[in-house]
Parts: sequence; structure tokens; C-alpha cells
Amino acid sequence: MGSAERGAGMTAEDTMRRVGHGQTPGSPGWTLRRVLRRPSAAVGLLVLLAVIACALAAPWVAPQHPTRGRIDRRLQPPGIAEAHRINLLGTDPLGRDVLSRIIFGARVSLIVGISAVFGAGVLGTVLGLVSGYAGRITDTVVMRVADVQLAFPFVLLALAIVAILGPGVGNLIIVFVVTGWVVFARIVRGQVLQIREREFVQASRGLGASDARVVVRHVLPNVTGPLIVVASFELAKVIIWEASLSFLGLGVPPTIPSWGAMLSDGRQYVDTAWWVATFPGVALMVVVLSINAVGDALRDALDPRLQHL
Amino acid sequence: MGAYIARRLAHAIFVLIGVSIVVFIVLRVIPGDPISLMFPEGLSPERLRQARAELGLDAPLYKQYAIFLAHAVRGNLGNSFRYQRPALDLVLERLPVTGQLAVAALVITMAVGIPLGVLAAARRGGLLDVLTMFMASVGQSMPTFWLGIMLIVIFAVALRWFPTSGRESPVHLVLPAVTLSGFSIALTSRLTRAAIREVLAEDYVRTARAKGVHERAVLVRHVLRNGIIPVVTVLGLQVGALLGGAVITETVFAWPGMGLLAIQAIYTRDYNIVQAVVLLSAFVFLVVNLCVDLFYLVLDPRIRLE
Repeated sequence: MGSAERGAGMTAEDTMRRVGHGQTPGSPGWTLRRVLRRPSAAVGLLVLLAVIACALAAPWVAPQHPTRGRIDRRLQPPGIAEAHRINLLGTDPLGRDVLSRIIFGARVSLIVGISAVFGAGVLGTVLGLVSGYAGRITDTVVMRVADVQLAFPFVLLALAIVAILGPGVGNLIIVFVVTGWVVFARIVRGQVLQIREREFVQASRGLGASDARVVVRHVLPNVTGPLIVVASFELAKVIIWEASLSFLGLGVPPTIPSWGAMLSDGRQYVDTAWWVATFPGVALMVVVLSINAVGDALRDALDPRLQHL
Repeated sequence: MGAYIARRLAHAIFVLIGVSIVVFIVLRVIPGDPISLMFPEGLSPERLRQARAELGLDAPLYKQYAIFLAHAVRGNLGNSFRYQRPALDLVLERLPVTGQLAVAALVITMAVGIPLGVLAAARRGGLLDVLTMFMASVGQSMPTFWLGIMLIVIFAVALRWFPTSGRESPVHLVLPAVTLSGFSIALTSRLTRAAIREVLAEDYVRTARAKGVHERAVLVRHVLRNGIIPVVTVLGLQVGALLGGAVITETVFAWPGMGLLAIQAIYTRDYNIVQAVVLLSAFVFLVVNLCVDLFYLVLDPRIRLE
């Protein structure tokens, strides 16, 4: 609570300082320039773009078929055994190429991550706006639901929902939307409570602006920065949790290559074939590390007050 | 003070009731009947109805919940369908097992994360600072279960220093506890560094230095005491994350705690056990966070509780 409250009073000066810069702070071009100024973020962004490109072009980029294996080539160590059949990162227990499966697996992580964060962001923003703007009973109800959710062990909630809905990409996305909206709602609500009382909103109200107009013209532009920052960190979190649920056998069906399921397969072979469980984890870590690097730079550019994230 | 605690307790009870409603509804909407799982060979319709009545599964949902709540306040969370024993007893037996893991992880987190963060802030821009921040970024980007698998590959399979799984001796605790603390160490060192840097820029720190207070005394007496509050808050919230992370860690290391029990119970639709685990976790989370808020008063007498 402490840091959020301490930061609360800074908004006015902050805005003044930003406007004083002469550029258009917060515009996409300005943000991108500031993010790229930091080496770790520039590298992170490059890695992410490469991963997205590979995921999109998976059928052409992957050296082999991701689900068809050759049983005579099971658990081959990384390297070049035959000139015409190269398994750069080795093969899994069913003789499938680990590298190809990692490339295809990126699709699941990205689809689930991006859609879930988008969904949770929209749901959280709407609930946060309603909660902060309508006040009173609605506010109490939404915030109490958020409290309940925060006290609820996330993994168990996710497991229970997947157990109801059954495994699948769509169901995973639903799980993460249902469990992920709280942080967005809290940020938006906090901003609304601050902005609602400010002079320019009061003035706009006095001139007869409707609630909808105040929200669209004044509140939303003020929460976009924090929302983008939170979304980037949530994306990293969802990708990790998607892999965790797939690892527990409750994520995507085993027929679809995913990093979590590959790690789960590889776990049984750690003493004989370390590469099966190692490389998908490295891929996962590199992607999450890149997202976090970009997220850090975004935070410093858009909203340095969100230090605690 | 008394009124504050009373209000917080009322809030905690409210949240617990909310959690119980959610878990109750969620678990009963899950397709798959516990009876068909208990008797896979099937029952005659007559015997089936009898079994459902015995377990109270034939009443309407709200009635089942009312009965559940009335029992719950008396400490009765129903019997495990599978073990035919009180669910709460089963979970309470496993609580110390998970507690041992969580406490060990918390101790490692504090013993490693806080000093690293303080030193990194004190030697700003130095090698230790850069290294700590890099390791923190890596640590926060690593899924718990993968860290566990990698530790097994390196320290259990290759070096044979530690066992891969089980809970027979204190040595068995090392790898799971390190695994579980990985993310928290990263988070804590990062936060401590940020908080300490903020305090280092304060006027009273400059004053203390100017009047010749020894640098270590400045760090411990002035900086740490003021900078630690946000860290304590996050450590409190981390207890929830540790309990959740325990589900994954216990699966990787076959650590027979609450998490493993809960996972198995979800697979076998043993409602009452899942319910008991969730309620107990929520309860622990709320109590810890209340304690954290009260601890602020000790750390900073200026804080007024509302």
C-alpha cells in the first residue's frame, strides 16, 4: 500500500514535467525511442520479433515435422549424426526433433499469452472503470471479489477451472482471463479515483460532458501507460503459467506441441537425456526474459511510479 | 488498534466466505461424479441413489452449501470420499509438510534476497549490483518447475549431491526449498535494492553521514529500517505465492505436502479435500497479511492504521 499511496500525489507534477519536454510524451514513437535507448530492451524486442516471426512461419522454418517422429531415432543427443537428418537440439522419447517442436511450441505460448492478457486487460479495465466511476455498492462488490480472488490460491483455481472445462487452448485463455483481470482493475480504479476529482474533469463535467465522454476523453488516456506496462509483465506471467499447467497435464492437449508439455515429457528422462527437458525451458526463459526487459523499459518510459511491478 | 484488528478480522471472514462459495460452486460444476470414481465398476440405480443421499449429494446446491457452512464453522469440512476420513484432518496432517518447505524457502529468500539487495544498492553500479540485477531478471523469468528440473539434472543426477525426490531426511529439503525460493529471491533482491536506493537519497541519510556516522550504522539504522517496509509487504504477499508455488514444487520433487494432496484430490474429484486445502491456504494467507500490517507499527510508529 505504502508505495502506491506515496506515488499518488505525484501525478500532477509528473504530467507537467512530461508536457514540458516539448515532444509528445507517451506517443508510440516517443515510447519506442525511449525503450530502444536501453540495450537490454532493444535486444529483448529483437528476440521477441524473431520468436514471433518463427512462430508465424513455423511450417517453413522448422527443420522437421513437429509431431511425426522416427522411433529408430528416439532420444538422440544434440548434434549432427547423419548428414541428411540433423537434430540440432536432439530428439525426444518418440524420435521427434526437439528444435522443431520448440518452434511450433512458441505458437501456443504466444497465442495463449497474448489473447489472455488482452482479454484480462479489457475485462479488468471495464470493471476498474465501472468500479471507480460508479462508486459505492458496485465498487465494494468488485473490490471484494478482487480480494477473494487474491486470497484464492491461483494454481488451484486454475486447475479447478481446467478440470471443469477440459484441457484446450481456448479453455486456458479463459482461465487466465478469469484469474488475471484483478491487477488491471486495481490499476484502472486507482487512476479513476484520482482523476475523477481533478479540476479538468470537474470542468469538463461542468460544461455538460457525459460520463461516457469523461471516461473516453480523460480517464482512458491517463491509464493507457500503466495498462501497457502491467500488460507486459502479465504476458510474461501468463506464458510461465501456461507452461506450468501444461506441465501438470492440464494445459493444451498432448497432441499440440507446447513447451510445458515438452518439459513434462523430458522430466522422466533427466538422467539419460537431459536435452529433452532443458531446451524448451531455455526457450521459455529467453522469451520471458525478453518480455521483462521490454517491460522494464516501458515502465521507466511510461510510468516510473510503478516500481513495485 | 483494537477496532482496527476487529475490522480486519471481519474483512478476513468475509473473504473466507467468498472463497468458500467460489470453491464450493466451482467444484460442484465439475463434470464427473465422485461416486462413479469411487465405484468404477458401477452401482445399481437403487444403491447409487442411496450412496448419493449418504454423501448429501442429492440436495439442492444452496442447501448443500448451507449444511457445509454450518459444519465448517464447527471445524468440520466433511469426509474425504476416497480416504473415508475427515478432510480437515488429512489436510492438517500435510500442512506441516508444506509449511516446512514454505518456511525454508522464506528463510532462504530473506537470507539471500535482502542482503543482496542492500549491497547492490550500496555499491550502486558496481559489479555486484550488475550481477545481482542480472540474476534477478533471470530468476524472475524462470518457471519454478523448470528450475526444479534443472537442479535435479545438475545436483541430483550429475553431481549426486542431493536426492531427486522424497522426504526421508533433511537433505531432501534442500533442492525443493531452493526451487521454491528462486522467484522470491529474485523479486526480493530487486525490490530491496529499489527501496534502499530511494532511502539513500533522503536528506536524513545525508545528515547522518555529514555528522560522521559510520557507513554501516547509516545503512542498518537509518536506511534499512526505513527501506524495509515495502519489502515486508511483498514478503507477506509472497506467502500466498509460496503456497501456490508449492503445488508445482511438490509435484516435481514428490514432496508429500498439501499441494500434492490437492492435485491428487482434483484428479479424483475428492471435493472436500480440495475445499479444505483452498480454505486453509486462504486462511493462512489472510492471517499472514494481517500480521504484516501489524508489523508496520513496530517498524514505523508514524504509520496510523485506518
